[in-house]
Amino acid sequence: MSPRTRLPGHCPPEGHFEALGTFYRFSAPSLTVGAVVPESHWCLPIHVKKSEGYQQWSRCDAYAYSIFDSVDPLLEARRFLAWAKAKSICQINLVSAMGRLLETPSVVGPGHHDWYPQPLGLAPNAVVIEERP
Amino acid sequence: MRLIPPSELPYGELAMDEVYFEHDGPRFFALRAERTGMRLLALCVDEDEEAGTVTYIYLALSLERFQRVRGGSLKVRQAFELSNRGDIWQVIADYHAEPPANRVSPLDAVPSKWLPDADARLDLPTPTAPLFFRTELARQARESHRSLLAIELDPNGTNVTELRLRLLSRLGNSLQDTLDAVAQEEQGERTTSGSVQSAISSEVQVSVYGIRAASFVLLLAVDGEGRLFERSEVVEGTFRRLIGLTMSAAAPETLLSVLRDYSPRVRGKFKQLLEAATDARSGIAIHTAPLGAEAQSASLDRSQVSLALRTISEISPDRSELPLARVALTALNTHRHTFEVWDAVQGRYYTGALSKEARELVNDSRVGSSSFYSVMIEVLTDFASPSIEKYRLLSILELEP
Repeated sequence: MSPRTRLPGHCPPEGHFEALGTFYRFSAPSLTVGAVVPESHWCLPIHVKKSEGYQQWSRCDAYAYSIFDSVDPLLEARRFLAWAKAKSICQINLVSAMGRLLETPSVVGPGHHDWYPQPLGLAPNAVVIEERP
Repeated sequence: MRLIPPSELPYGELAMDEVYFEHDGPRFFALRAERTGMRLLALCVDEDEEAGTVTYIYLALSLERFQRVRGGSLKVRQAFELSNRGDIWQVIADYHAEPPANRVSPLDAVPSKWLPDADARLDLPTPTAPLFFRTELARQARESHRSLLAIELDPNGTNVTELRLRLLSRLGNSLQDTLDAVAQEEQGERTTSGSVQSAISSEVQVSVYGIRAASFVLLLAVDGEGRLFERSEVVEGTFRRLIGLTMSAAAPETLLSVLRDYSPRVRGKFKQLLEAATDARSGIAIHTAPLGAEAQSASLDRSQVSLALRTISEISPDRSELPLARVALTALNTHRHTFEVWDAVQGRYYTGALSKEARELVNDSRVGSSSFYSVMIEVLTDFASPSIEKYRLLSILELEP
């Protein structure tokens, strides 16, 4: 990640709050239950070439990870999306001073949040709880 | 979003409609084709780490079938299985290409592994009527070759597609009356009383052809009854004026300035339209799509409607003087300071209050048909209700027998 990448002044959007708690997210297909998600797997969408937010420097959500407050939406997503079926699921513990959260729910993902990590290059402690089916 | 919606699909301009699931970007969503109103369901099915690309499948659906999928009566996989040839597309998004680009290709058959589970279905509450989009109005005007109009209310602020029948009737009447009055202005043939000339009102008669949600939206089309073509310049001008009136109502000073250029008839009818919205405890929005001209919209929230109504109601009445050469004083009440005179020439009575000066003058006046008077009456015409006139007797002079 470029050391010069900074969160734009208008991000995160209004309504954000301290990131605290246990959350869930899709992780790499190759990871098995109990595996720790490697630090190298943590790369913000703004730097990920296959990301819709790739190099969208002024977009706030390009500097955030999608995380869910429950594993259920991720399991539900697997029923609809072949892309999601190809992923493992990890659990993330966010403790104080790890960034900010913004609630951004959707129909199939009611517990969806945008997590703005602080610092931007932060790799949290995350462990796989569900393997790829 | 750069590659969503994909511009390479053959459905015209697309807009994001709903996102059902996102994970570092939208993965399951619906798009809306602005020109046709149809929908496309998009599912993320694969990604290539090495190539840095993401693959989606897009399914084109009629609005009716999309609503069935959305509401859960049709499972998502079923929707794919029931589709026709040419309805499914593979879109490979390459976000890091220079420039970023989609590779789009039709799919005759979707690999089974890419389809949702057999029982996967959405379960979204479906509005009692289809949702309203302004772009839909413009599209329908083009397709039907008719000028269209939509009036939108949010009764009681409940976002419910219901409106009491009595209010609906009042709303409809006041809107049509306003259109008739404004059309008269547009034609330059203003009258202050009686019905609007039928040749004018027939140009802007509208009929209900649909209802839309959320809140309450009434869709109206200019009638083509008895004519091959509508007079689009009249309709366009009338719609433009209606939008202008509605916009002006957002600021009291502007509203007064605009209304002063209109006849009391227009003022009165527009006031009645605002009153109908107030009774519904709602704001009001007008959307117009005149044939061959630009679509326009204007809206007022509830507080703006109330303020506009109050502004109109508080305007002092127009004043004019009416001399009557020979009248009989038929009633006089010196306690309540009221009068009544009979004008035999016009065949009518004038009834009202006595001015301060007139109270002195009437002391020696005789009530009855044996004496006649020359009087000056002040006529007070309500700013927005031309049919309401009040009279004040300013002076009275007994005529020689």
